[in-house]
Amino acid sequence: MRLIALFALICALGACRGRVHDVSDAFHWQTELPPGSTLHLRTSTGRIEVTPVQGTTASVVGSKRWQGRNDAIHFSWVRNGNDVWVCAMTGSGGRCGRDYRDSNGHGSWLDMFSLFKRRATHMEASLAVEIPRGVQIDAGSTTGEVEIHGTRAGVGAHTLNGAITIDGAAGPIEAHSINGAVEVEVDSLGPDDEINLKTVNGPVSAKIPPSTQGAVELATVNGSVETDFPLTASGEMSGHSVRGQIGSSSRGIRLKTVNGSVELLKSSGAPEGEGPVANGSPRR
Amino acid sequence: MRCCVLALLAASLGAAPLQAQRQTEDNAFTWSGRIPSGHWIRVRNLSGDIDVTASNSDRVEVTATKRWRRSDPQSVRIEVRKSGPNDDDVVICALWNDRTDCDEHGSESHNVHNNDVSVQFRVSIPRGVKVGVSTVNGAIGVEGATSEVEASTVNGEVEASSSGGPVNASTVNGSVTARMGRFDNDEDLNFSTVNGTVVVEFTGDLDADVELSTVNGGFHTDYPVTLNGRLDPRHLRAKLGRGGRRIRLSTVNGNVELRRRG
Repeated sequence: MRLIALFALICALGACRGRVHDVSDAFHWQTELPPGSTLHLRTSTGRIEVTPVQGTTASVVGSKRWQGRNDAIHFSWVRNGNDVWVCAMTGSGGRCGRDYRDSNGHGSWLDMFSLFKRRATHMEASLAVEIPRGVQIDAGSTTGEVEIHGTRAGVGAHTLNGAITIDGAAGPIEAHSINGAVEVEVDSLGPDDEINLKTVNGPVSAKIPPSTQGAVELATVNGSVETDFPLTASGEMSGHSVRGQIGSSSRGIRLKTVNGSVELLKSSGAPEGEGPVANGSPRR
Repeated sequence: MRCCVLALLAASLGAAPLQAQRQTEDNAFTWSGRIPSGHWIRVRNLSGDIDVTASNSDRVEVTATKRWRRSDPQSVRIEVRKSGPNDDDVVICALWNDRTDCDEHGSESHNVHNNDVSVQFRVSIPRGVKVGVSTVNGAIGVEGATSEVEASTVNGEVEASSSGGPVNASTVNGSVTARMGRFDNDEDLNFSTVNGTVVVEFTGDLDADVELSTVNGGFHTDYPVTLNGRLDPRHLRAKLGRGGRRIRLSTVNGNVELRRRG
């Protein structure tokens, strides 16, 4: 009898964990963004995908997924001059803007006393973005992949847990992850456009136009280093770390990881200096 | 009973002979002679350092100091042999018992264990004389040479410099440091060890195919090299200038450095 009661209790508790909610079009936002603008995208857990669009209208579709009764995910945006922030927020706290902060869904302190918690768990908020040419992208997630296609005015991308993939890009590129691969393909670079790619656990790969010149730094601790470009190097070097020069430009090209391979490859892009619509430094 | 045993043991220890004192015989061997410029003075040793310095005279001077604790210093004899065309080259060999032999190519030893005699050679050379020195247990230092130098040991460091060159140097346990001035020939050069760093310094521009290798260590080169493809963590091959002579710097445990002066 006791065994049956215990089994019923376990079943009840399991049922109270709540069902999974999946809303694919939870947020729609669009605005005019002239060339030279920067669109900042933020989410704490979730994927960010950016694709290019004709015209000058940028649009963001937010999707969300959570487990439990309450929907604690909402989306927010802030405009400040040419900078626009679109943020996925969880819980009641948090802030969208230059000082983005997410409360990570922490609800009332009374929740800790509730056997049947009302707050949501396993929250994910993803952003699917279309941006016009000439708008710079600054995308950041804590846990989630960042994928950026065909942006022409520079990219900043960062995540802690997840891969970063950038292709068809032009302009300066800055991409940082901790746990995840960083893979970048650049069609064209302005004369001063730098490339900075970093991760800790994962490979780093950059395909850049064959005519690119610059001061190159390739480094890993556990992994191999490969370059399609003849690097002129002197000073300290090893099979895991090298500083070298392609041509005469002092533009920095830095690819670094700790655990993983590093590759600097030639892309089939346009000649240097023909591509970017606007120059600038990616901002986090 | 135990007391008796302990007392006996103490007495026997006290009666044991003291550890043999280290003894030295300076100038156990001296040799002085003229060697024409472009010819060799070679010194072959098995146990003990060899130091070579520049001479103020036109003669090659060689002195040897013997050191020992228990073995008979007379068991090591030092011989002078002539070699090469017109006997212009000189080989000086330290020979342990009758079981070692040597010539201009090197020395051979058979069972010289339990002989603690070591010989330290000091050699001074005039300009233009080539130097070939080798030992097994001992360091080698060559300073003030103006022509070709060959230096090798097994257990010990090698530090060799010549205002001309070329220099070849090797050891197994120890570092190799070599410095060269400008020289004309295009022979291959080798600098190697197993446990230790290899540092080689050339003067001015260099036309050569260089190969640097290490297993546990890194590379340094003052000469710009062009790297392409997958970098090999253990080997660095590059063409310097127009290429030409092969220069190999290798170790297993240690860094490899290719330095440039001037």
